[in-house]
Amino acid sequence: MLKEKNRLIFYVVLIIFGLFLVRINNNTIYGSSLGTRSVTLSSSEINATTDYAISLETTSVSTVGSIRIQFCSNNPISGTPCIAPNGFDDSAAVLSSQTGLTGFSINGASTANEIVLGRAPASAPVGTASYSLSGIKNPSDIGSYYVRILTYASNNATGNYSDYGGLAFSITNAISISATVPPYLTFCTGITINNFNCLNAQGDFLDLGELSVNAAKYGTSQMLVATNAELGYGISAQGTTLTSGNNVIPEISPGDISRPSTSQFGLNLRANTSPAVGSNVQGPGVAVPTPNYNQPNIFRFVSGDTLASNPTVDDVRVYTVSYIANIANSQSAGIYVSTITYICLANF
Amino acid sequence: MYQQFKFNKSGLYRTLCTTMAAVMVVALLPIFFSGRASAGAISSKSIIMSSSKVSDTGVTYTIAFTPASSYGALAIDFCTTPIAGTTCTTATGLSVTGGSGTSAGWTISYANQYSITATRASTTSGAFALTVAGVTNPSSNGTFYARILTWNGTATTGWSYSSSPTEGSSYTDSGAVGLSTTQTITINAIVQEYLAFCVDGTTTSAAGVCNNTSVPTISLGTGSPSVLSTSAVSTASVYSHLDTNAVGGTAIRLKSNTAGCAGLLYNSVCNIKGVGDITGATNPSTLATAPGATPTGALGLTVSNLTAYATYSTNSLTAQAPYSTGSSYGMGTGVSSGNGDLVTQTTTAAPIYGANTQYTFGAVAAANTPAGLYSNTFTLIATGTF
Repeated sequence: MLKEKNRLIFYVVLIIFGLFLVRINNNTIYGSSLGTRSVTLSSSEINATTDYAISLETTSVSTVGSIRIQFCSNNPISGTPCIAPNGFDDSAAVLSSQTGLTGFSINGASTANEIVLGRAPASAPVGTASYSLSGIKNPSDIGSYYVRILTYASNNATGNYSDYGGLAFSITNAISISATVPPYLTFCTGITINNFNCLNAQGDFLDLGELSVNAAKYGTSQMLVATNAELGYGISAQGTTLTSGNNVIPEISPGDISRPSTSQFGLNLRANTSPAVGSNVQGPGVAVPTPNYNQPNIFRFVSGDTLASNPTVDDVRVYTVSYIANIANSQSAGIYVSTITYICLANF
Repeated sequence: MYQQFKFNKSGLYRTLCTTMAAVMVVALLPIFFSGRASAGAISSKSIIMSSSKVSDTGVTYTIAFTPASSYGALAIDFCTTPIAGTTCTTATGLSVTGGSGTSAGWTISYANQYSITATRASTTSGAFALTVAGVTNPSSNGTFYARILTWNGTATTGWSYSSSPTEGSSYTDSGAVGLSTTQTITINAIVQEYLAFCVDGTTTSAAGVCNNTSVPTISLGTGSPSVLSTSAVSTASVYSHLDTNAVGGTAIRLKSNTAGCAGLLYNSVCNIKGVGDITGATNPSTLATAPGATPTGALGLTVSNLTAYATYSTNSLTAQAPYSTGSSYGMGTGVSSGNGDLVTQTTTAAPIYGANTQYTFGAVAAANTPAGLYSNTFTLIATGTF
């Protein structure tokens, strides 16, 4: 009876000791914790294809043949079950760079949420290493996620791991920013427009005085234009040459120089020397007159012609229109009048 | 019957002998203890150990006791048994040799590994106190004792102390204090790496909680309808919340989802540029007007801490240039490439908790900014170094 009791006690103790051993084995940590470590994402947006730059510091000298990088949604603790993050996929990951412990390539043992970097096993000194993995698809849900890093002596992450460590990162809402830039076209005409401001436009009547057969009569007006029309703008002139009843001073077409003693009426948008009239285009914009009206001392007037244009948005430009009139001896007397309408069309 | 009678006779004999022996011991007791017939008890005695760890070094023993009689010399022996005057088996491994500690008027000696002695020029009475630093605990677990002996004598007369194993019997008062060394308690726990970072359109996240209830979608503009101005900055804010135990600090970077454009796009063209990408623009800029040598529509950012939950953490975030002025708006060239541009980071390399941050974007249009609805998407990326 006593022997049976002792035997029973012996077995109970044996079982308890066995359980204790199992418990110890479960808690076995094979190596040491990694030192300073981080994971840097190139984007924290859900579902984004992202670069993951992983930096780590080994703390023990050991043979390293592989590094297992696990991505988990539940915790960073090595040795516990890893739940793959929803939507996460590293199947197309590419090891784009590596420093420190080098010579690795992505091993075939990798899965959709686990990358195994393998190489021929070699001694690894204590130090830092980094690995850039591109082409990884972020999780599909915002929240916190974890990375587990384990080093192995084998080249395929089998056997006991050496160093280990965890990381955490977050997937967040992306910031969407929108803004509206309204369309605008600023255009005005006047005899003068000071300071690039249409509020300063003054005058709409130009008196060339008494025309002469000896020298051209001339005058100027100005136009200001600016627009954010994506396809730019064009300014055209609509009107008639100088007329007095049935008498006409012919418009210059094609372009020509000023010829006193010849009846002619024309204009251009340049600074001229013969006669000395006009100015070149001014302002912070970049637009210039069209070629027919962009030659000093060459004048022309064809109703409907485009005087200036620009293919894209442009800041303020002030064009000075120079008008000349010459008459021949045969030009009938009279009061000659021309009305010219300038039209600016913006192309949004 | 015979056997029974014989047995009873033998038992009676043994009982008689035992009784006689007991009577003899009682009779001899006055002889054995005559040397301390006048010894008094020591009261209020205690020894507090700063550590009960086996073999621990540098331990402090705080000793206090009050002898019944006047005393001018004393000894404290550390033994495996408490009874003064009996052989003292020393507590193995214990050492007071490296001890230190003084008591006013007393000359303390730590010369003996297992005992402390103290003498003075004249006797005194009342409490004695001594804090001894630098003691090495016994090398095995278990109970040991401090025997306290006092003499009604002084350093020069009236006391004679014999250290272990024989304490002698000339002391006046005696007492003992039990002490114990124990196994240390080893507690393991895992604190896992943790980083909670969220970006919201509002700033209602409490510490330790990410709201994620308000998608950070903002529209920049002024007036009605809301449009970008060429003469005033238009602003709108988003907010982030950060909790992490990253001991190496945490950095938050801004990254444009459109490579090469840190501003806003219309028809896939980045006409509103990040301030840092505009030639001739100061970075940051007030954006009161379009910046740059050729004024260009611009987008910038300024970052500021919110204090709502600052009390949860002694660490804080520090906005980085060009995002740190508060009144101007900056945008680094790195926003549209790589891993983005650092906008703020922990002030010290330590965990941070309950950090709410405001990110205010500002934009201005230029006269030559094409009309249209502009947009872009950015991400804030938190990287903790563990």
